[in-house]
Amino acid sequence: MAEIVLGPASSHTPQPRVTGPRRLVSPALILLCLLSLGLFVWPVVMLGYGAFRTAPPGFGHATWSASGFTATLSNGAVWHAFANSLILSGCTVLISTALAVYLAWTVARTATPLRQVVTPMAVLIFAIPPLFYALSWAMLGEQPVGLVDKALHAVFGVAPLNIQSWFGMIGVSVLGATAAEYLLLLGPFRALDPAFEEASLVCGATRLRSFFQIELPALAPSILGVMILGFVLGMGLLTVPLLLGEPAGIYVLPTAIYRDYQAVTPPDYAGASTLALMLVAMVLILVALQTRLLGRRSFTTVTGKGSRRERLDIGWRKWLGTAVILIYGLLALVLPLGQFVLGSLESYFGVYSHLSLSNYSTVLHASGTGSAFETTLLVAVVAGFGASAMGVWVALTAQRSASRLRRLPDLSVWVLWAVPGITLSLGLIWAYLSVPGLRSLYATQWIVLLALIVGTTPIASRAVAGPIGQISRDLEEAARTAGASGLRATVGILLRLILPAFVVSWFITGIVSSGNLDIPILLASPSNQTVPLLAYNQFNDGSLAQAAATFCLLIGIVAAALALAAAIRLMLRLPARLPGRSR
Amino acid sequence: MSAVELVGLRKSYADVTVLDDLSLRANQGELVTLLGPSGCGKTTTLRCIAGLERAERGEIHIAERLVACPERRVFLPANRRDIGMVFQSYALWPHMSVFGNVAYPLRVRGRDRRERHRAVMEILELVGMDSYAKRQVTELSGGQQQRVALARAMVARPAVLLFDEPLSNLDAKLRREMRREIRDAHDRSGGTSIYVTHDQEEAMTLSDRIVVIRGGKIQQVGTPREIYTEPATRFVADFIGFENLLDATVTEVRDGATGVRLASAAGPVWTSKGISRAPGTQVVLAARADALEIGPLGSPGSPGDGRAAGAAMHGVIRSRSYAGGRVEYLVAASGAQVVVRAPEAGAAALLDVGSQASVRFPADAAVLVADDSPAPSPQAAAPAVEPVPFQGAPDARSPMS
Repeated sequence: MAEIVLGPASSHTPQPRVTGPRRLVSPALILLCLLSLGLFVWPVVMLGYGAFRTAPPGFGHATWSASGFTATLSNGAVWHAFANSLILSGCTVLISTALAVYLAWTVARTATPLRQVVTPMAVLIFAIPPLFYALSWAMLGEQPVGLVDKALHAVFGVAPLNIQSWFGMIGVSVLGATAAEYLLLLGPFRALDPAFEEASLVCGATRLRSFFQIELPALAPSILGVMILGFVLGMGLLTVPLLLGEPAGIYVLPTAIYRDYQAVTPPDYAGASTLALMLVAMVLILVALQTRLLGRRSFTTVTGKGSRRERLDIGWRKWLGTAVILIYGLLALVLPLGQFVLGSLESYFGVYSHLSLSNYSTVLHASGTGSAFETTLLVAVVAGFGASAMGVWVALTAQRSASRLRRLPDLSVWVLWAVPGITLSLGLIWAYLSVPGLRSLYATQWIVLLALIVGTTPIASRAVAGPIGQISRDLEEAARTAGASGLRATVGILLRLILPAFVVSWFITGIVSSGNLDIPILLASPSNQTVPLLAYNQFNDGSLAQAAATFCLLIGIVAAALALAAAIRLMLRLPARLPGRSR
Repeated sequence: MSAVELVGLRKSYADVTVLDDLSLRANQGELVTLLGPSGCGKTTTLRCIAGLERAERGEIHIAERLVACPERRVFLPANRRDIGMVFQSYALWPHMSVFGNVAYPLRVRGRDRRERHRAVMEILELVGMDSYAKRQVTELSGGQQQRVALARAMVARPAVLLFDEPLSNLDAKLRREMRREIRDAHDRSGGTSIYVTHDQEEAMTLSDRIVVIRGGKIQQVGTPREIYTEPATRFVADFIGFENLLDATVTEVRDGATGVRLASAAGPVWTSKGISRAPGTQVVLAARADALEIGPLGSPGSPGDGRAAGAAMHGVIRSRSYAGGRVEYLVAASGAQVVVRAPEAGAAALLDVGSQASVRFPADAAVLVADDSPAPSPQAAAPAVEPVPFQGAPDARSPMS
């Protein structure tokens, strides 16, 4: 991935278009267009609709009214929450991007010791849901029993750190965001032609000057893209502010939306929708800003002819990199995981004596647990598959179809980037409740499943668009000239080549779905809650140790899946390396 | 005065020796080409001069100043060596305009705005790119990018210009054009240039002197004419396009000329070119296909009538192909194959595939070179020396008439 631009996934992978007479619009394309509009655009449209209705959809006697809209916008607390969202998201993005750029540069270019562990670490951190971070750091900083709190007490006598604060919210958000941004930036850093820096050195510039005047600006589109994506996701962040901000009286837009919807009876649908629209407007402004800043300029020439080069020897400064890697690993992985495992073994959270497995047996014997794990597994596997299949279909259509409509599904999916997290859940409620047939799905696990497919399709379409763009049309044409039918060429060659990207996408979206709280928190009912929701409820009830045990079980399953995937990958690679079999 | 001097340069990656005791001088105002197959160490040499890579041993002097010497812990980084370099990928920074790219070396050197503008526009005019100053470099064609890269390398008037295969990404026509422009630019700058290429034709037309490198060692240094007419070793002869490399034994040395016996020829072949060895020594006879003569067996002049007509070799014609104004024959004699290109002399004079023929070696048509195979270093043997393409029809079996 050379460029990260918040835009339709396929726009950066030019493919030779089919020339010759324009094909008729196929039934499959029409179906895909309708499906895209219904799944991706409809909820966003309904969000706007809902802001001006007096009652929830599906409850007949609603009328048009701007009162909810205007009441919300004239509420000072709303603007306060909006400003808080900007601060939280802005600070998080600035700090995490700086850190991610430093880590990506360190890994891609220098000989820093321990650089090899950064990528696996980032993948692991990315795989752990945000709720887990929020929970574990809430526990770590819990006064006076959290591990970090205790440690600070032991060292300083007092604990200067209150995790339920701005400091805690931003800090914990940075830990998660850095991993994701690092993973997105590593590719561009690796793809940057080393000759750029060398040319600058030869011109007489120092290393430092080359970095700031040549390498960083050359990567500006990628970095800016990552920042905007991070900012959008930060604006939609629910879990961290819910667990670490609310107790300190700090509200952001997503928590305000949640409270409007959940904590007030009857739910303030119009108010929540208005808040969501504010979020959408913010995102659209950002995307417009990005387009304006970068224009149509393309820096895709960053991939020059790969020249061999030695890694930079930056002297003593490499130990600084090692220290950053170690501290990051400690804060983002070791401490949260350690606190969770330890917490799950305590009979009561904060009581460090009498460690036992009793929480696990309590959790496992509780009535809701089994069904929560079943629901989560089903939802993760099926939603991941559905989203990835949708992503492949959309990307293939955008890149291979000759019809004018080919870009419509891609654009529809792209619209979803504008409705982060809980906003989407709200839009989906409006959308599904307004359709008579779908209304019966309300409060079942099927609506959660459908919502997760919709919610993770943008990720899936990003993950598969690049690899599909790299599959040369010649390969299919070679199959056709070899005598294969169109269907056979597509299935035997094209889909076979897409398969690895599809599996990766399935895996990513599955993991994201399994840890998602934003969607089940609004759409699931107590009878079909998912594991994150279960853990969140346990946490809210004060059963911290049980929440830890629940989450440890989920993390264990995810870790096992990761290990299994790694093992399968290794096994598939091994035969090629065995002597005698390598051709 | 030497502008660039390398003394005993040595470098290895893991256990592969890339540069092996390499010494070299380039004089002020000279354009010296490092020529060799890929992996021979020519680019590594250039990058060591630039300060982008470090040698393990040896000295590098630029403009009489010691810039690198690991034994004495001297290493001047690239940015302090006063050089300009044109990269294979051009390495134009995509976030800067043409002007911004070319102005950068001056900006780094702290020149003021007005002077910068003047110098940049002057050099852009020199390479014919002044009307493109405001363009983004990503909007330029390959040849235009090449010109901008050249301007950027030259704008600060560095002591040495370095070229790392700058023409390898261009098509043949543009390459010839740019070759002239680079030579022009070099002449006008009056500085010293080191140019790396694997293309012997490029090296011939461009250089004042050519350094042929193989396996990290210098094989031969000479003017293009010297290299072209009198290669020192079998490797250089092969690389420079001698089609025929035949094993031979010295039989006689007389009046500055050497007579050698080929395995399959009647009588000695005489030449005064190339190395001189005592009788009984194994050497290699290198001959270009154009320098040999061919006729049907028993044609007049074919019997060995002394040194003037040259010795003859008998064989069977294996293939015949048209080579643009000439006819190329592949002749199999006992134990050797010989390529001969004869002038096209009408259909009647053509020799048929399968017929017996006699190949003559006129005096001084061939060069004696040292037999240096096998390769001196394992990694030099791996990358194939690019075969010199025969001009004209490649299909040797197609009948001509």
